[in-house]
Amino acid sequence: MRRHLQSRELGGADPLDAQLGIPAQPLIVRLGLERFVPLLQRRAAFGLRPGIAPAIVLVPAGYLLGPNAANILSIDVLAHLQVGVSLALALLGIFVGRALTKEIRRFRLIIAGNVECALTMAVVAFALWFTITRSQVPVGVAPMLVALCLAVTAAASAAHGADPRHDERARAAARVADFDDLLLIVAGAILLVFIRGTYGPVSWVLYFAPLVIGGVVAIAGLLLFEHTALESERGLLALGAVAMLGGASAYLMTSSLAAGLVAGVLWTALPGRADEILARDAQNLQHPLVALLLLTAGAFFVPAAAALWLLAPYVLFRLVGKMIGAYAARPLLPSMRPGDLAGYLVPPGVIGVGFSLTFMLALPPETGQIIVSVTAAGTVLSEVIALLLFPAPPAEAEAA
Amino acid sequence: MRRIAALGLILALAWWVGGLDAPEGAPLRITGLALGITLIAAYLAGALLERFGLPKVTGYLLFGLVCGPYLLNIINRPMARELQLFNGLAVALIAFIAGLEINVARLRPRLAAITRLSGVILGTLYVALFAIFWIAWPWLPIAPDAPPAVRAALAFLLTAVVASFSPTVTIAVVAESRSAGIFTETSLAVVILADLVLILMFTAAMEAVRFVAGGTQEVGLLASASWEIVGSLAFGAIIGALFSMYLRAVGREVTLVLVGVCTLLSVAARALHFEPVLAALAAGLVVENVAPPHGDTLKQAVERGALPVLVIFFVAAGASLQIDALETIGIVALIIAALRGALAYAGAAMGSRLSGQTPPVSNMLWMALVSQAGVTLGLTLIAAQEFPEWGAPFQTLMVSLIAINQLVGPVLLRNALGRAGEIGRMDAPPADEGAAPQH
Repeated sequence: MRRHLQSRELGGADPLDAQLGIPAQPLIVRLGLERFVPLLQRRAAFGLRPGIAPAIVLVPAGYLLGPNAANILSIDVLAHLQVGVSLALALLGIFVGRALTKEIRRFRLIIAGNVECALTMAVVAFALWFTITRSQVPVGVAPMLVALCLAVTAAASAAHGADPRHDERARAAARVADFDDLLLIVAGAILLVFIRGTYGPVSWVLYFAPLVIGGVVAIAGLLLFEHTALESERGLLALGAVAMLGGASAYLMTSSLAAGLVAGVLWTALPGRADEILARDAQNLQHPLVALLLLTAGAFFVPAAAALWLLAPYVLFRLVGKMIGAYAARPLLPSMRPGDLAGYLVPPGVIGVGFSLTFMLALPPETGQIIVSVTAAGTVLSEVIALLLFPAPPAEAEAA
Repeated sequence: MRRIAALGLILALAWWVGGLDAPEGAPLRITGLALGITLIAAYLAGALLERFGLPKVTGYLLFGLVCGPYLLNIINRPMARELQLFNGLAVALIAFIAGLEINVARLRPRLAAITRLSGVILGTLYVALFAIFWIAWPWLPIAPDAPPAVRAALAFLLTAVVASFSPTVTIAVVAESRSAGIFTETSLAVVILADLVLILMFTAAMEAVRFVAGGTQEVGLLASASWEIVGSLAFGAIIGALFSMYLRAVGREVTLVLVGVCTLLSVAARALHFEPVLAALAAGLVVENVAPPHGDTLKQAVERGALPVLVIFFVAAGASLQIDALETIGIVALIIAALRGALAYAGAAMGSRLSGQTPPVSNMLWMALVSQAGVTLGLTLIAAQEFPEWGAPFQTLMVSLIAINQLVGPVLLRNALGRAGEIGRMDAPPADEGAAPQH
């Protein structure tokens, strides 16, 4: 479990780092600045230890590089980077599907994750709908649609502070964070088709498109992966499969995450080693794609009045939703205190950011910009809140 | 059978997706789909051709050509354009890999011989091609009635472009076949040296044409060429040195940083009017020679992961081949291609004799000198845009020539690498490589 928990979103070292041999001591220690180490939380994020969650660094970096600042990531460049976003989402979907299938018998944790996710979505959706209608924030489309989109992006959790080496509570929290993605991905996929439906009639087939795309690519992968001897060729096919999942979904504007989830479930559930092969080969892509996703979201951030107005309720009610969700899930997790679970679930990770970028393509430009801006800034703030309010276990616990 | 079934599924999915109502802006989101189809289908096409004894590279090229916009149009123009966007990154990575292959300490004893060899080959090509073009000018479809001075300048320009090689294709074939050895090293060195000379000769030829025909730009010959050559090498060396320092001091998120380095080498180099191939080559060379232990491990890891980049590069190259140009000017292009090949053979044979080369270099080096691709096309476009009065026929002739050499060159090189027994030797331990005969 530990291995695929680490590889699901951000944790775990980059494979190339492992081959080259990471220097024994972090640079900060070798520079004689070790007294600053305790100031950083010990969070197993993005292969940095000690370090901080990548969103805190990469989203602001994206903004600075983006069209509203240095314009290195210009609008034209960002349009071409969208392919990386859909690939990143498909890859994350595969890892979610893999983790889900491996742990499918842990019903209590699956239910806990989905209860927590549903409550967070409900709280955020209602709070933002209320804020938008009461304050008459100009969002360009129906307020409920914006509130639902932001609710989906807010419901994601990464729990990358929960290193499963710590204790049973950390392991359970990490699994809840994995499983809460299931409802979020399904809700997001339906919402995407629904958004398309607001502009005109859409074929009912689109609701099932992620299933078809994920299913066909999974079968093609099963036929190819295990019968290719060379590592380099397996890597190529893995990238091709991820590109087909992300590319076909992006073309139809359906959810890449959902298509990846279906493929991940099938590769893991069906006989063979396709899931292991893909996870190993695709891990080389994971960090660059996730970095690209966060940089892109940061670049699209626009500090417009509407986005800033919605930011505070987004962060606040996301926190409230996670707390309520954690309390509601308590009977299913007797070994865990609700405060601990909420603390683990506050870091939002990257799936919500990815969804915001997908919604942006489907919505009118001004609405899409609000969704991405609120989600990107909300993600950074939530990560900072998690660092400040819910510090990860101390070094001794990790060593133990 | 499994592979054919998988290919059928992938193509069926693409057909199904294409048949559904795509929302507005779908053409802009086609890149991922193009990438997916390209990687899987082209790989399978390459594997299929390999069964018939043809190199995989030919499969990738033919897949791009047959499925590209000029024939079946499965990879349509927007898809092909999107694939070209990856090419900048691909070219930088391919050249970076080539730089990682160049170990100065190992190459030093043979440097004088390689320089002599390159000098003879290029001298033969330039002198003979110029003479042929001068004599045959009235029958060539480029300004046949030009006065003698203009005719000489244009023949010089045509010579410079026709005599060019493709370092990118050479490096890509070497990387794809995982070749290493004396023939590989010599071929790479000659092609790279020729690229440096090409920049100088093209700049001189353009200056000459401007002088006699009156062009639109006024850029000093020396300044322009030295900025491109010295600037590219210096820029690449600085990036390589910084990357080596990063590997030693930090050593984390190397994949991410490597992607950033290749992007920088590609995008920034173009913005600064440097040659990305030279810059990336210099960066790889610095990493290999400044941080050897990291360089070797990095080289193996990058080479293992480079296959998708190479496939995209060759498919994009195949899809961009303007095969329709052959219809109008194919015979002339075919004659020039044959002459060029014969001169490369003669030059390599003479150069080998004068520089003491032995087989496989002496009898097969010419096969590494046939490919032409992006650099040649880029130079053609520069000339055609600056001199519109004869630019169109010049461009059509060169595009036809590139199409022929692009199709034939990689096959010849792969064949030569196979006959030299160097395919797959990149994976052999360094000691094995060191045991290769020195010439």
